[in-house]
Amino acid sequence: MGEFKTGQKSSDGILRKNRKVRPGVDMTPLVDLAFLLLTFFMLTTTFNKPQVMEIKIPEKRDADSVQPKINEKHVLSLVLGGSNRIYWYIGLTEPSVQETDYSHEGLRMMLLEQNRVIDKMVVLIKPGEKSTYENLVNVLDELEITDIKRYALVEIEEEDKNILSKYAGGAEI
Amino acid sequence: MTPMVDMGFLLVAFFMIITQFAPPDPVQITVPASTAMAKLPEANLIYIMVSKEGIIYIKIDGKRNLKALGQVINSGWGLGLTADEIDAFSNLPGIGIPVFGLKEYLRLSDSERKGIIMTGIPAGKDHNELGDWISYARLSNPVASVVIKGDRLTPYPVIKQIMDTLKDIDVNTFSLITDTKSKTD
Repeated sequence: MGEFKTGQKSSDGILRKNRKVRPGVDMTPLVDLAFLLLTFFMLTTTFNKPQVMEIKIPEKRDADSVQPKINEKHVLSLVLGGSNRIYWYIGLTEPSVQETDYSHEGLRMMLLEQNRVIDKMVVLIKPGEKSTYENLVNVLDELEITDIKRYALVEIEEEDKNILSKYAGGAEI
Repeated sequence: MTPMVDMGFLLVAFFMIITQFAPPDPVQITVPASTAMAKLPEANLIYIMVSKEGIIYIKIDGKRNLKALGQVINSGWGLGLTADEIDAFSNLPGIGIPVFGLKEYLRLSDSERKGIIMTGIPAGKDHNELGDWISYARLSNPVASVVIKGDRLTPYPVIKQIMDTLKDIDVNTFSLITDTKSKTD
């Protein structure tokens, strides 16, 4: 590796001191190593920390506590079904069920439009057995994007099942 | 060449300092994407991890926190763990087995442990250990916050079980870990 040049043999074979050549260490392997380490740490570093979505759920209720009542005309039910399908309807008395998907033109446009039409809209998210975690996160995200503050995560009740059973497209929940 | 080497080592030092070797997750999880911008806190986290099969794991960051939890569960559940077993506990990447098998599991060597198939922490209505785990974890580290790291394809009923459990033990604020996406995609 490092070699020290202290002298030089001249053509006549006599060792003479050569003051012009200074002793030196070959730095190439050192630099190689430094850059190897550099590459390694650069590749293993992750700069962005994961993002989180904060969720606040209501406190558990006592059995005798009274739930606030709302006009059913202000309630948009969003039933999350299997195969990334969403069924939605307004109110509970003979509503017409419509289907949408998680795209911008689907869920987001629908939420924006209904939010404009319905005064004091409340969204009830009702995820079905066949829906996935991603479906829920997508809906919560769309509600955040469309700036709808009044929503709740609730269970699918018998009434909802009855409404969906009448849906012509066949509901997968 | 000296300035270049200086520069090289400066960069090496920089990347060495900012690199954090995250402990491996007990299971491979692909989180869903959202436009949420809040950042995950640096430390004091209780992770509830859910694989796409719906298997629930608990992960605590920091060896010291995990050791404290080991001591709390040891007295809480009366497991009778030895000091060595608590040490082994503090080295676990995550816990995904029911409590009754825990002592047995901690006696195994690291390589033997890899062969054990994780069945998950029970979180059902009639047998729920998840709530106790979270309560003990919060007892051993009162400033810890709860985060859920679930796979995109986790079936919703498992998520519901977790949320119901959290509600039961009065943990009403928690975070969901998501990937980033812009509003337009």
